Amino acid sequence: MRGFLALAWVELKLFLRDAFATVFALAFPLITLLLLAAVFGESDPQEQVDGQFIFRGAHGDDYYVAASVALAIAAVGLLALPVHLASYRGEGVLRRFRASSVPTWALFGAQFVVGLSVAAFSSLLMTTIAWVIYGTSWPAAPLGVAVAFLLAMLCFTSLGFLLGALLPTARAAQGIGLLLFFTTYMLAGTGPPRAVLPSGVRDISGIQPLARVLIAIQDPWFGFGWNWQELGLLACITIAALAPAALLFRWD
Amino acid sequence: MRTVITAEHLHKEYGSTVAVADVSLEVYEDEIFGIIGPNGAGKTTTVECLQGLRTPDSGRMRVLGFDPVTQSGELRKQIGSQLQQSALPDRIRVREALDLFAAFTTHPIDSATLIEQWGLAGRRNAAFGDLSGGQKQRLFIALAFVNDPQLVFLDELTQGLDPQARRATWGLIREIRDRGKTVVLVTHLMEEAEALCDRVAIIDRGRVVALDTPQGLIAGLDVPVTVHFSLAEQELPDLSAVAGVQRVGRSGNRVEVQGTGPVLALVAAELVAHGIAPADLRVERPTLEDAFIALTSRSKRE
Ligand SMILES: Nc1ncnc2c1ncn2[C@@H]1O[C@H](COP(=O)(O)OP(=O)(O)OP(=O)(O)O)[C@@H](O)[C@H]1O
Ligand SMILES: [Mg+2]
Repeated sequence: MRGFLALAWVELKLFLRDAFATVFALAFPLITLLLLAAVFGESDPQEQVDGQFIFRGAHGDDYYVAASVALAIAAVGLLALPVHLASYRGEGVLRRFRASSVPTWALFGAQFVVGLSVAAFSSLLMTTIAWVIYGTSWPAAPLGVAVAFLLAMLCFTSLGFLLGALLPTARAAQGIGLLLFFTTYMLAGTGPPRAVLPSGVRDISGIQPLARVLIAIQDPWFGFGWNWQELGLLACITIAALAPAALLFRWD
Repeated sequence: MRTVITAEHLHKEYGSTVAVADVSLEVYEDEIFGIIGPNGAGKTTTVECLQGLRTPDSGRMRVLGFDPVTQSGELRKQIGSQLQQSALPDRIRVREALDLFAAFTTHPIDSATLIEQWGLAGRRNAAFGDLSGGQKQRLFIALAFVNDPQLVFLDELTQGLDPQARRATWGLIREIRDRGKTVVLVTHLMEEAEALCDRVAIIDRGRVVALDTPQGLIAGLDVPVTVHFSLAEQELPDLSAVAGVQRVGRSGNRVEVQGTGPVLALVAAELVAHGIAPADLRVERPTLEDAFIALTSRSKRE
């Protein structure tokens, strides 16, 4: 436990010392939020396509505030974490960790703490900025949003470990991670709302973890209540990703 | 003498490369055990198998009573490791790294002590990425001792160290042995193995080709010692009659006498008896390097 806390603290400091990682983790979701909220801020919440609300019955700018929180979580899990693990492996840092008896759970746990801190800070920052600039609303059920956020973080951290376990090099992690991130960004409702996607694509796009995260966060945010089904699904994805990640994880 | 490491018939292949063909050895408590051998001989693979960091394809191992394959976790808590290849995050500071790894052990050595001991006092707040090669190496050695291990593995102990740092390191390693710890040392420096190791194994192409004390390895060679001196105008007395002398050569002023046994003392006595007292009389003995070259090239020919 002492080791885990020490590692989490060091990793957090290392993340903050890496200016590039810090900027990327904060900048991308923030910029997309500022753009999309400006463009769709005036939209009518009741507007529909194919008999569905475009913005799930919320204001466009509120929709994108919640979406950018989901995006921050995905950026940590699909981009930052796999690249970090793969480059640690490539450089031989993981060899050193293993020789010094760092257990797998402590390594994973420390990364979770860092990811959680970064995504939470970035989400708070974005929500505050959007509130100041566009007067967007704060979560209707803050606790519900916090719980969804935590589960979403667990889910995407686990996916990040799985990618970090499967992808051999930092290059591969970067390439595959970017591909996955931008694909899911476009299809999970975090870019264009899923209601405007062609109906076939819309149905399939629902299987993406990020699509589930978005709904799990938006429902309590918009005052639709806790979405237990989505929360349960996120928990299942977490376990389904974490088990193989721990099993397949390689230190060198 | 308690045996801390037993390895029997270790074998490890990577694809079609045989990294370790057949290695058996024993290491005793309180000794500095050296492993030397040409590049790619299988030294690193051998010691990493013993540390539970790699799994041999076959063979039996016992290290501090643990099986490194099935009990690697317990074993690694008891040993110290300095790996030939590893790294730390570029932005971690020296002090932070020592404190971090100390947090994973039950009886850590204080980081301030290690920093002082391994000459990193001036760099305690420097980032790993900003350290010189030798400073990184000293940090890695310090990390190997952070859990106050009974047994340490040092793979290429003094790579990148300047002569002063190297000698200081030897002194510290001896001290550690004298405090009852066991050290396994892989090195390319014959001088280091000769100066430091109680016993040395020579590994060549995945096999132990010799295992003895450095003196034993050298003596086993049967290479003659050579006595050198120079002689200005004087007549050279007949030295070939001196006991043990095999060959006498002279080129200009310089004389070379080869022989075995106490040939230096006998030659000197003979010279003095003839009123000759050369100021530059010296003896050249075979070194571990000679033994190493003879043994490894012999196994290459076979
Ligand atoms: N992970 C690996 N994958 C493939 N081949 C390997 C691996 N590790 C070692 N080898 C091969 O096994 C052989 C022995 O390597 P090893 O590192 O044990 O040698 P060594 O004696 O430590 O050499 P050096 O003195 O250069 O450090 C070499 O031919 C090397 O190429
Ligand atoms: Mg080696």
